[in-house]
Amino acid sequence: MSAVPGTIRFAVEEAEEPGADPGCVANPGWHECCMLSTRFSATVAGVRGSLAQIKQLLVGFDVCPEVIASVELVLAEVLNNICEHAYNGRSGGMIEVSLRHSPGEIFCHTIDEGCPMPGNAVPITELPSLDGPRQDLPEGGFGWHLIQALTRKMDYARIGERNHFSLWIDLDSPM
Amino acid sequence: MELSCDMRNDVVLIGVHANRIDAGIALQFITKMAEATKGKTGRILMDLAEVEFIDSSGLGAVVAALKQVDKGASLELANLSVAVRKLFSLTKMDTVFRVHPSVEDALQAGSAAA
Repeated sequence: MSAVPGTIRFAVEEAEEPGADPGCVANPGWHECCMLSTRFSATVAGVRGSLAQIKQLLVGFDVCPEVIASVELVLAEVLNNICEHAYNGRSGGMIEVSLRHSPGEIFCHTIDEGCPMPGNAVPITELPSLDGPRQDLPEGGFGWHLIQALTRKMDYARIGERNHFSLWIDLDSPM
Repeated sequence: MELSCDMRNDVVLIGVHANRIDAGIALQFITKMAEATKGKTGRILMDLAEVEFIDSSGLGAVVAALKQVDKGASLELANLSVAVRKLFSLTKMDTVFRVHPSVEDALQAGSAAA
């Protein structure tokens, strides 16, 4: 993990796949994965900056716009939740995000030192009801639904004084 | 974040000049939308061409903006980015707001189905 706030580093690796299908050579990206780790302050500016860097990285790897949109939406919701609830809006908190782009999926991992999730679990939420008059429409309660809808799998663990979120987003079924 | 306000035919066209509507500018967006839509009736069309991304806080702000418009007015959206379209689809907010591919499409569509 980078120890310098606001910096980002990544490496491109050749996957070790002896005897891999030569047909895949036509798509060089198939043999690549990228790793990224970034550490930033748990603020609106910190979240915006990290999302911009991650988006730029994925664009560079020719990830399709639909998947990039999914990654940005998922991470935005997780990171906003960390700022607003785990750190309860207080300044000085840090967030670490690491991301791995490999064949078939994008894996994201976040670490923060805020309060644990209530019940030590991620909430299973339904989409808020949109029935009823205009004045009764919901203005919140979408975040966890979006994360669940856009990920194949999501894990949460409280390890020591830290929250760990793991998120898997499929490349072939971005919705 | 700035809003521009023009009349196109009988439609109030509000341009949103920001590349994202997120937790950082949600409250500012609601306030500026209240100013831009106050006293307006009929169709109000929000042009999101410059907006690449909206998070759930920004979505809440767009809903709040809808609640602020006059009872006789509608709030419609045009030029949604891939990420914004995905947000509205997954939250089913595309069933609450009338969504148009472009401003020109919206103007040609008229108010029949509003």
